[in-house]
Amino acid sequence: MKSKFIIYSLFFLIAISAILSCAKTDTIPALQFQKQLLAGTGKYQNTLHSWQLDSTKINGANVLLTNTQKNFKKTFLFDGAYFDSDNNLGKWEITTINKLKQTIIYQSLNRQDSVVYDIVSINAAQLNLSIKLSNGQTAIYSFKISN
Amino acid sequence: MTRYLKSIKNITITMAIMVLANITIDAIGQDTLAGDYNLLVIKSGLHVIKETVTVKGKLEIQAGAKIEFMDPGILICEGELKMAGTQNDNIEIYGKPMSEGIGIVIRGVDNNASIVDIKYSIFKGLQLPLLFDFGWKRSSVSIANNYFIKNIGKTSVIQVLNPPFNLNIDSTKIDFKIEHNLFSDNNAAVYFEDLKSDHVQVLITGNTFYGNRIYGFKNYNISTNVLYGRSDEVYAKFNPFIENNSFSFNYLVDNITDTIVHISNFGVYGSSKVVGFKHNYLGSEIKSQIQKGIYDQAINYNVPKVDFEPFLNQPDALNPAHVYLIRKIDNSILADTLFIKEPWKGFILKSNSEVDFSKAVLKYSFFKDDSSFKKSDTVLKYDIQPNGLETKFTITSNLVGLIKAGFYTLSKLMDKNGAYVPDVKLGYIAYSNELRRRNLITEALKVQNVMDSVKKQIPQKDSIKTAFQKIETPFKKRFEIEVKTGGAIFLGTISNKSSIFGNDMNMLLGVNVNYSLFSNLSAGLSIESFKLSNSDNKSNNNEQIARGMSFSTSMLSISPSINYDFTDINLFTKVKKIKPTVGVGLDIVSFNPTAMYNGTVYNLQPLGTGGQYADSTKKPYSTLTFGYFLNFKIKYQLNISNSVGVHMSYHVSMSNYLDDVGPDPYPSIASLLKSKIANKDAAIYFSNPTARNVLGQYRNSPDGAGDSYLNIGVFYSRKIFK
Repeated sequence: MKSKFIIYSLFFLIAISAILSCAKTDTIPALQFQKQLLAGTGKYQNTLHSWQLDSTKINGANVLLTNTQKNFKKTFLFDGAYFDSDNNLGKWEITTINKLKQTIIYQSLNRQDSVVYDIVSINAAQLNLSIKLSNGQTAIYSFKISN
Repeated sequence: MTRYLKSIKNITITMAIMVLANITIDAIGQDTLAGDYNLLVIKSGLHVIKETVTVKGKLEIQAGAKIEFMDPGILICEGELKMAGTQNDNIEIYGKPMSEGIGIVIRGVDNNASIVDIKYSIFKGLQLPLLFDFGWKRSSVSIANNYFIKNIGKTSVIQVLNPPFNLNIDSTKIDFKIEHNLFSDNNAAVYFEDLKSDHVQVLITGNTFYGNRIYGFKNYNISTNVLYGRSDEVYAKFNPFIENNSFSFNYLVDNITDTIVHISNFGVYGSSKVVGFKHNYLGSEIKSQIQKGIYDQAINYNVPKVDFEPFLNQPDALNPAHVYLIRKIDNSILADTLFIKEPWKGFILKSNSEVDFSKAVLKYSFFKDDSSFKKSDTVLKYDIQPNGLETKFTITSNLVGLIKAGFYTLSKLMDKNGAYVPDVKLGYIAYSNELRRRNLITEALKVQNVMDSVKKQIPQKDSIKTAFQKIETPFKKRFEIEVKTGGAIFLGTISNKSSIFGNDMNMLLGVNVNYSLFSNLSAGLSIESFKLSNSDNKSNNNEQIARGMSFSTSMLSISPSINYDFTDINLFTKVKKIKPTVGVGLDIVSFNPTAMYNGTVYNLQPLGTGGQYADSTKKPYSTLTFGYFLNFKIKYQLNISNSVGVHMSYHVSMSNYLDDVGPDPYPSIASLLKSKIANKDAAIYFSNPTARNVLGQYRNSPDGAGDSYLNIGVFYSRKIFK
């Protein structure tokens, strides 16, 4: 009788532990996911993403880019640091979805500036940023991943 | 000052006496007695003895004392013993139920003219209530007005071994008196090593020996009597005086079958010619009937003749009260072996002295049917018509239709002083025989079952034919259904290879039908539903972590298998309840890998993450695949139909795409963008989630592992048809 009780208990415990140990699906919030697309997850070899300028539109019209411009790269580190191919340093943050705020220290001008981009779209390979220029025109910068 | 000095002196003297004599004060009011005492007084109240307690001097037990003996509790008295109960305030010496202690031992020679005086004490539920150990000696022994009831030991109730033997003439003798005691419902006898002796003069008178069950074997002999001993011709100055006792309903019970074998009242052996046993009531008025309960020369010519005539036709009124005669309601004789088959209207009881039936409970205990051990008790109503010492019971409860083999018990009887009177049982002998008959049938069936099982085993292990012995079980009885649960762990491309349990485990549910082909071989068909999921982040391999892939897929598999059982499938014995099984099988698996992108779950196959839709030379993979597996089970058989157990199976898939990650080069982003995939963003992400530089690499790198998974858990199985 006692051994039967032990068998039943063991059976029950194993069944319960199997159910309780089942994997749960973790959903990444949209804001966090956008940050991961932009700058990586912070895991091994995924600590930064470099984005190379691909095209630019001003008020919807394509702008012809020079070779130097085409080689311009923005690099976002997962910990919020930023640098680009013009040797500018800075920080980035996305506190609201589709709003990328950058604080950049321009090395050549020795000046710090802040700018907020609208993220038009982002996926694992493409990043489109939009900004209102001081002359009132809207510029859209398209970047492609360049890790 | 003088007064203070006197006080100090008195206190000092008192303390010195207490310490030096180790007197009884320690024991007074103490619950548990232990160790050695020089003197001991056990006062009224509850005391417990769990071990050997030795009293070297006088042991006095006062009225109202209750001493519980727990196994192996024993009280050894090496000096005087005085148990001074009173009629209204008994001493109780009893064994703790289920852990009964031994009893009191009188041991050693005490030359201080000390005595053993035991009166108005109840000895109950003990292994050996009173033992006068070999070499004991006291000036006299008196055991009077005590109750020895329901003692469980099968050795003796009172055992009197010889005092020291002295070849020189020793004028002193021990007067050994057993008077007016009740011996009832005990499992053993009163035994004297020498009833006739130069040193002990035995007097046994006025006692009632009622309803004792002396355990032995089926052959009636000297020691299987409620009173027995030796009587020799030499060194035998003092003849025993055994008169005015009542011997009623004492039986020899067979140790093995637990059934009543024989009447068993008095037995004697030795070289004496004759032993006096006159003026006792011996359970009957018929000489031939009396003779059956006496073991003497009439049975064995080597033993003395017991001179029991004249005998009493009824017990003396001064003996402890008891019912000595039971008759039918029409006053006809009732055989004690009567098998009760129909309800009784009543019965007549005769007692030796007044018995108070006012609180008596009449119960009928019976088997519920004709073959099983199911028992029932029912309390019956009755009317009483007293007529002097004769009482007529008329049963008023209607037992028609209820009567099966059983017996009546009349309990809670008292004498005129409110003292215990033994229960009366009617039809118990036939009932115990019936119980034995049913036991025998059950045992025989069990033996037959075991024999059948053993036959089925056929222990010729060297022959492969025996492992796959044909079985005679009907088609329907070969089926066994099994429900199982547990967990499924993915061990393929996206997994932690170094630690199985470092991976995701998802719930598994399944059902399996097993069919016994041969004695040790069975075929099975399982349907299992479960989920597999995993992530590269769980891996210990940095290259995998850098790859950053994850997936989740629902799995539905149909799996035929063939299994080898290490024990005979249809064998059920208590010794082989644990049954291991190994097997192999095929899987037909439906799967559908999915993953989450920006909060939405996507089916991965239509996205062509390996470039299946971006490259015209490629085709999308199928979500239906084959596989094979190895399984292992340990089954614990609860009974012939039901089992529980644990299972483990390792499955290898023929498809490398259970996790959507196959041996494909990473597709270029441009080709994915050009393709006709509906969700390009998701496809780009899932093709290379970390967007790292993967030029020339395959998606299933670094190890290129195929897909496999492990299912583990518990199951319950049942034979569908009995």
